Amino acid sequence: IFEDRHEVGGGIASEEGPAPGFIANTHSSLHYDLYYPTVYEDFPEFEDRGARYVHPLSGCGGIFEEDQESLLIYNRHSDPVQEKTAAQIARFSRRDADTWLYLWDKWEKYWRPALYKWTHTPACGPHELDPMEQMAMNPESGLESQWFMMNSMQVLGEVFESPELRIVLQRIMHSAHSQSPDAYGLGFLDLIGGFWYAEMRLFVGGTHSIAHALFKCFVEHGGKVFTRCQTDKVLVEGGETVGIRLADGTEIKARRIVVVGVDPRQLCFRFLDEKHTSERIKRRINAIESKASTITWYDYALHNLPDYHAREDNPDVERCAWLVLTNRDEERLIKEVCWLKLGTYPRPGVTTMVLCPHSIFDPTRAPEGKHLIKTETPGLPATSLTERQWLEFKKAQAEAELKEWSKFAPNMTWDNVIGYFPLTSYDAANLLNMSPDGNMGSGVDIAPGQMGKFRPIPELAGHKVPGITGLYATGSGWHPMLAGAGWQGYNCYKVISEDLGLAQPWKEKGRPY
Amino acid sequence: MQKNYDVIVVGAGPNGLEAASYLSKAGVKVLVLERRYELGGGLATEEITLPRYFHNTHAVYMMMVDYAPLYQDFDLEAAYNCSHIFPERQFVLPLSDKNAVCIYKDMERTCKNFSRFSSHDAEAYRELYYLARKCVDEFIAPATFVAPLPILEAVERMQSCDVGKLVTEYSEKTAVEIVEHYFENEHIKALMLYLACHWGVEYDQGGLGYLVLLYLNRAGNYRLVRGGSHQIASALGKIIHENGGAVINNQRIKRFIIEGGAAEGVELADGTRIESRVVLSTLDPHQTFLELTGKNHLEDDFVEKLRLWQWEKYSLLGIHLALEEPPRFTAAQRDPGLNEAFIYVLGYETPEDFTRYCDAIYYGKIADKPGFNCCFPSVLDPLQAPANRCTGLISQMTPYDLKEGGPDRWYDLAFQEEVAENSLLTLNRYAPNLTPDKVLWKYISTPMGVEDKFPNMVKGGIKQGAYDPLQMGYQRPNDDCSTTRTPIKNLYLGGASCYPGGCVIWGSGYVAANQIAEDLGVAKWWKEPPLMTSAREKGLL
Repeated sequence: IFEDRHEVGGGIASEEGPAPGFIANTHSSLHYDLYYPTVYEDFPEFEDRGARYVHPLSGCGGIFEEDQESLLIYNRHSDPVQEKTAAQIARFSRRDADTWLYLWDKWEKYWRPALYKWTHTPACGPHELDPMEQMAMNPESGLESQWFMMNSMQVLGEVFESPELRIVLQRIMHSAHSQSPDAYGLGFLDLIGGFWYAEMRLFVGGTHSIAHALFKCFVEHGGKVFTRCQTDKVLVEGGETVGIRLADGTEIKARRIVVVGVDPRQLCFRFLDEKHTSERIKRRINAIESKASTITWYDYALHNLPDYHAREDNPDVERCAWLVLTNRDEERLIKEVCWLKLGTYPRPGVTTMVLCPHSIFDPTRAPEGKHLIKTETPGLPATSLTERQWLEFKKAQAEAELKEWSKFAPNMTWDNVIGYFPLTSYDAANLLNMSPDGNMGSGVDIAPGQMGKFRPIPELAGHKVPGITGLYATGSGWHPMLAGAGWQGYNCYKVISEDLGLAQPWKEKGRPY
Repeated sequence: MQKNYDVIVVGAGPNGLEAASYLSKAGVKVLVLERRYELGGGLATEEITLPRYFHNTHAVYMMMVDYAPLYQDFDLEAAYNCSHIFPERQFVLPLSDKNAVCIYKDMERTCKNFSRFSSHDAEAYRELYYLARKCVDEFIAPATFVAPLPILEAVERMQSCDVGKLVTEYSEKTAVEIVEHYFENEHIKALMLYLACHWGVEYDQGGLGYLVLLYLNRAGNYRLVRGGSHQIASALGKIIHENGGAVINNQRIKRFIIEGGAAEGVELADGTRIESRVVLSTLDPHQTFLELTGKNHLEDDFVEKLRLWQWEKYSLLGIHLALEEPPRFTAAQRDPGLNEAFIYVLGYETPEDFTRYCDAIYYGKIADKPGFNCCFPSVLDPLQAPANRCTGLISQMTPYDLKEGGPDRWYDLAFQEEVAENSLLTLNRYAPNLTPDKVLWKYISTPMGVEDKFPNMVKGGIKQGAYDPLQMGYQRPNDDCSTTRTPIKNLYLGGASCYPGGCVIWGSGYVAANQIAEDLGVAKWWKEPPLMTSAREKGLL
């Protein structure tokens, strides 16, 4: 492995940014049972090497400013049949509570298995049905095929009557796809999302622990890793990949294949000479949308946990892993995204905040007795502001976030803050994979035509590059969607294993994915 | 998790990784347990201001690269892409009058620079250079990598040869005495005194003169790790895993398992028991013995020795800077090369500037006119910052326990900002282009932050305990443990609190690896470096 940065891991990274001893995840932060299941199974030493995790009490929830009422969705591991979650929802709508339980059954029987298969199976052809679409064809699944075309307002409006539940689901799923609730074709994701969030896990020591564990497994199996080695070119001779050239001019021969883990733009316009890809592929890559997956993450080092008004009602709110702080304006997020699309951050105030109190679940993330909490707000693409404007934005945002936060927890003032670590799309854009917009999905938004079998473009979704043998590509910009989940690498391996006749553990173990 | 190892190393700092690397390559089954999410301890390189600005948040200046055996033994440069930059201009003391005192890696160039201030001092430097080099080459450096001898035996051996007598003679002197003896120019004296003291030797303290010789010798031998200090930690981590060992992060240890007066493994906070033939602790003595071993396993007089352990009197405040451009020092108008020096000492233009600053620290204060050292690694290593941008570090001695407000005051963001702004004013005085708008972002690592990050850097100390004559040599941390063996059978000590001390000199980890290999009857794959053999043949070790 040749890696440009000083550390392996890419987006599965952590830094002690807020203050010494407080560990912030710089990109990928929330993880789910759906992440890395194949690695745990195929590499039994993975957990021993540091990939340990905890399940938060509640996967997601929200507090509403008007009356400080809260709604929590509990983790499957603390609420296996979702009765606690149903009780929470029933406070707003008895009917929705029943619907939730009905759909939980569908999740367990149909949605979750299909999702596992969809995420751990290489992209099918653009004219074939993928595992999610196949599932939706089954009337027993509880999913209706038109939901795949509809937006979140439509789907959730059809399924749930409680605005509070809809608002929470729409905001937490904005974290996954960064699109507005009125974006067509993503409504079904927002419906599935609540159940997905009920299976959240957080990695002990921060997300970077995953990178360390994978790295150790790799080295123990004889792999070599060179950090601080930037790759300049993939060398292709006669349509065949023969190696790579590093930025310092060193050429390294690959006897069989080269795997590239960068964004599609770098792959086609930097690593490969233009002659190696067709005009159609280049046109399609240039047309990829990349201005939505741009978010703002702040990690705060704190003396004390936020003292939420809502704790009086339900003390568990402080143990919610993705807590939305908002109001009952169901169009709030839509309006915010509109402002962002205009290239303007909506001040005064902040876009809808969500936060994760990492240290309450994992004490290794902060010094004893102190706390680390991450916030997330929808943000502008990096290209919207100048560098100086971003540096000003970073400070103004901290002020605005604390002001917003204190409406829900009065102790959230600067007196409670030891330090903070602001990460914006400007920061992300400095990473080559995420340049120029600071797009968290390796420059590929999640949109109906840019996910699953179409991601990043149909010609590349299967991890091969047409016309070049021995070259494979993967990364967050690939099928099925943006996530630090290991899916894209696993699927790429599946394709390689077919081509090279390597071991296929899923077949040996009878695993459906 | 595998529950049985030959050796468990507690702490993945430089010494722990070093010992684990040697032992795992010797075929010993090693497990390293680390509290933090990263390995390396002080060998940290972090992206904590802005993206692609890589900051060495603790160890920056590598001073024993030419002596430490591990660089050659593991072929770190060729095999692990782990190389160093050895800047021509090592230390610069810019002056308000636009002159600068400069120490080069080339002794003659240093003498030439000194001669602009005092021809006497130029000759004095040459004399001191050769004297210090002899002492370091023939005794101090080789002794760094060998277990210390009991005091009486050491004294006897030292008196048996010239270099031993010389080291003994200088050891009695204070830093001020040595500097005053050799030099006459105030600016040169200021720089030499700072160099002699900034790793923890008090300027008026006798008994540590050998460290003064070491530090003055090392002043022309500092190196920067290309790509950041963490590169070395990563390389050692790879070596351990390649050789069948393992480093596991985010581990909390509840206690060492002691049975019949011998260590038999560790128990983790979650109750997991991992057995081993040997436990090597690189933690400070209090954690190692009082917390993890337990007083019930220790003799009373040993516990008393531990209680007498003195922590350091000051910590380091680190102000890490993401700069829009590199500094342009006024002093560089005469010698543009000064802008590419390694380490700048600012604010201490006379010895009194420095001693007054130290005196204030001992009273829990930060003097109004701060002095410090600073460096700009990306000027020397472009990998450490975006193109045409610059990383900076102000490393400033500061009290942990502030007279006003105690240590908790370091959490006060306004206070941190005030201290940092004052230091940046000093920097701006010598490098006028670094105006506030050129500081794009900064990250302040306070003494409290050091302790929060590394619980064994108690009171923000960087060496797990003061450099005091009673805590050095055979007595570091005490006469029962300085060889790395301890009163508990199979429990070894090997961190900065153990002989020869801290600051990434790679001593105690190497000594521990040798002791453990010998005690386990494991064949050593590594050979003793010639300098050590030579010193041994002279009867010094």
